Amino acid sequence: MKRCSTPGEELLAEYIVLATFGLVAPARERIQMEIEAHYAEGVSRRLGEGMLPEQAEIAAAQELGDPHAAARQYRRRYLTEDEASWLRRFEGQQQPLRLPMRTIRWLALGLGTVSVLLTCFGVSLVEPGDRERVIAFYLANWLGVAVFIGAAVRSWRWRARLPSGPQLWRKLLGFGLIQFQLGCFFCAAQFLITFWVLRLPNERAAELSAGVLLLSVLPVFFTKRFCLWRKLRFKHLEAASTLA
Amino acid sequence: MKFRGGLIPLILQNLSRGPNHGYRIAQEIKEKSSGVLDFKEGALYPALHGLEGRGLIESFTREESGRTRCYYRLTRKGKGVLGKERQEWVRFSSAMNLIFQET
Repeated sequence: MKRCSTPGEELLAEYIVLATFGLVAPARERIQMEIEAHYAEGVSRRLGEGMLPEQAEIAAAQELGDPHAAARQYRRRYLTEDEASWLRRFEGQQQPLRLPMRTIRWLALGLGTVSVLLTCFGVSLVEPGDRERVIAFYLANWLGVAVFIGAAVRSWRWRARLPSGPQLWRKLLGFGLIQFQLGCFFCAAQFLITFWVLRLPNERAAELSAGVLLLSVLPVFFTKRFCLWRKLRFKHLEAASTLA
Repeated sequence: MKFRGGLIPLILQNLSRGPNHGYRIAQEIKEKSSGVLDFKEGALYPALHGLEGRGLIESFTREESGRTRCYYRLTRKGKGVLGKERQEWVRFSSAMNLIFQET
């Protein structure tokens, strides 16, 4: 740590610590460079006006303003250490899921065929009197599953179409889509288990599925990603937000 | 003086006269407004970084008396935005003047 020899330098060091508290190292460095240059400019202007060096330094440090207000502004624009570590963890967790998600695309046709065969098998086991009702029941629910799978495949394709690049916000969007797909599959699986294992009526199963989807996926998907996207969309800030 | 939302056109206007660094931008705005508009570091640099992010200005570093200084200059997009901001400000201020002249 740099040693402070004058009260002005001490005030400056304190200001920098408070204003850049919790920010990622590259952001801290850039902001520190600008604050120090700002301070030095203020000191030399005051010295030129005939002020004593110590007074000039203190006045220049005080001119910087409220460090807490500055910290609030900087934290809106730059990644914090917590956010960076969350992103690193998130990236690490999502990496092993890429291949399985890619293979699901190719499995979609097979899954569809199996689902139709299973539906036919289920219908064949039903008593003749109930057949019409049960056919409608099975078809409606398999249609739901097909929609989930279709949505997942579609979103995967959409992600693949995104221009490649090192930009973090694109990575984030891609990972978000993967997570959304997983949410869809989880929802579909839960939907089937509710039917076949718990034997709950159709409406109850749909309610449960929707509830799980809303409670587990959507709030996380939107809030966290929106906050981070606001920061990462700025191209020039990527250098200062790069994950170590 | 608190002047919400006004810092951005002021920065763009200042940079329309050529590249400048943060401290000088703040000083020039302060001097030209007779000390009324005094922006602290905590408001100035986040605004500059935000403008840079929007592509309205760009930064470059320059060595000056042994110290690295970060300079900012207006981009073409920034010039366009400044023109619009000026027009809007003229319309807004003339409308406000009309209202205040009533009293």
